[in-house]
Amino acid sequence: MSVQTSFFGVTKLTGEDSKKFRRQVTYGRPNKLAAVSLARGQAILKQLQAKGSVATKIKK
Amino acid sequence: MATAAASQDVVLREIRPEDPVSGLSLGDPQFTPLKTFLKKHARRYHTECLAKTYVYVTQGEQEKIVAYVSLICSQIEVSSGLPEVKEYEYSDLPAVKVARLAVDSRNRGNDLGSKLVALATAIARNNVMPHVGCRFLVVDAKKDSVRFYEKCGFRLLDTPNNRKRSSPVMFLDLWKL
Repeated sequence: MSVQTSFFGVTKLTGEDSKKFRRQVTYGRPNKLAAVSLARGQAILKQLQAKGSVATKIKK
Repeated sequence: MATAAASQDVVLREIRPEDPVSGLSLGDPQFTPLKTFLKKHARRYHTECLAKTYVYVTQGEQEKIVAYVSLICSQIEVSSGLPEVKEYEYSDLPAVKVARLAVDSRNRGNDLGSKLVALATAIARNNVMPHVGCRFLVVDAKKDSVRFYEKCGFRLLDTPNNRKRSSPVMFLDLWKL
């Protein structure tokens, strides 16, 4: 079993790692936190595509 | 009497060739590759479409990058690794990879990192997946960042082997969003 990755390379999973990945993908349920993040990202992306930038304020 | 906390204007946009890329402080030597990537590679890779980088830049007299994310096309190869075991139906799965993510240590707690991951998720889900085929968003997370990515909706590949890696693989199934 192994996991091999690199910056430009692929993520290679074998043995137990590949079996677990397969199970997690097959039986994994939709993730509410991911849906929240996606909705937030879509709002940012919409502005970015319309204006080329998105302004915000942060604490100093 | 309460006083308003000082605030600073920042802008999110694609990195530009003229952007100043020094001055990012990450606070720990383990993050040096993130600084090096921004300094030496991010602008050229963006121009040459090897990796696309989105930055938060301060506004004012001197612009400065305070956070960035770099995205690349990638792939997850899944195989048994054992010749006697039948290979899985799909052995090569297309993905977008969060290749680099960094937030200046002086600007943490401002939610910039989670906004950049949210943007990456939306780009992969809205702009890539429906048009070219892409099933996953994947990241090699720093151990200390696993909880952060879980809050963004990523799942840890839950094996002892992966959990003990210095950068455990985490993924998000775009098709189930």
